[in-house]
Amino acid sequence: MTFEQFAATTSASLLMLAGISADRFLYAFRLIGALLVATLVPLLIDRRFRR
Amino acid sequence: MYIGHVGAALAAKRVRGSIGLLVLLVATYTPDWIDAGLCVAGVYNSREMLSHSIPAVLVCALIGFVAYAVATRDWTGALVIAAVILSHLLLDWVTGYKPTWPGGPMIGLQLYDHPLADFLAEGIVIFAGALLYGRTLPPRRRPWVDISIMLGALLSLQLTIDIAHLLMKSLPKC
Repeated sequence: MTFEQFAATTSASLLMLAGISADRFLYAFRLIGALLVATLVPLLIDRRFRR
Repeated sequence: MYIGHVGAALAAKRVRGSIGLLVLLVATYTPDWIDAGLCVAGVYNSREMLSHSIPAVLVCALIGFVAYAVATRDWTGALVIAAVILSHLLLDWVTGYKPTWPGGPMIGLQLYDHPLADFLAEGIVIFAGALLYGRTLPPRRRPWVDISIMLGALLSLQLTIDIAHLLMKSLPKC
């Protein structure tokens, strides 16, 4: 078993144990990531301008 | 709407400069944060009734108004926060397809299916927001440089999202 296969199997198993489907995890991960980027990028630029 | 919501937050900064940009950014994305929370909690509604319907956004705006007013005693600022939260729904009707009320119709232009049109619509809001935001910055010799940096960063983010939509039509939903 390669490392990639091991990582994929393990992470899928952990998600299933937590009761989270892979699709749900991916959607939440993508949405939260996008929200953080959309919040932090203008915020950091603003901080730099006002220093 | 994606990055266009930042335009609403930037414009609000011009209306009430005393409100922190972080507070405005959280307010402008409130329905989307609720969506993310519902998804993680396993109670996500595919029609986004609990996050993007008119009653849901009105409740969010009311909570935002009360929370900001109680925390700062700034009633005008609280009104601006409520308006920014409400703007989320109005802007989403331009680019998305959102619920009205339980049992009501779904409305919106669904520009997400047309990434170029989506980019133009979001770009207009971002551009207007960045211009207004520029007037809140401390006086400098070349203020247009600051506005261009903000504008460039936001338009780049939006372009990335639209290209991703174009390349990956069927991303998994919650």
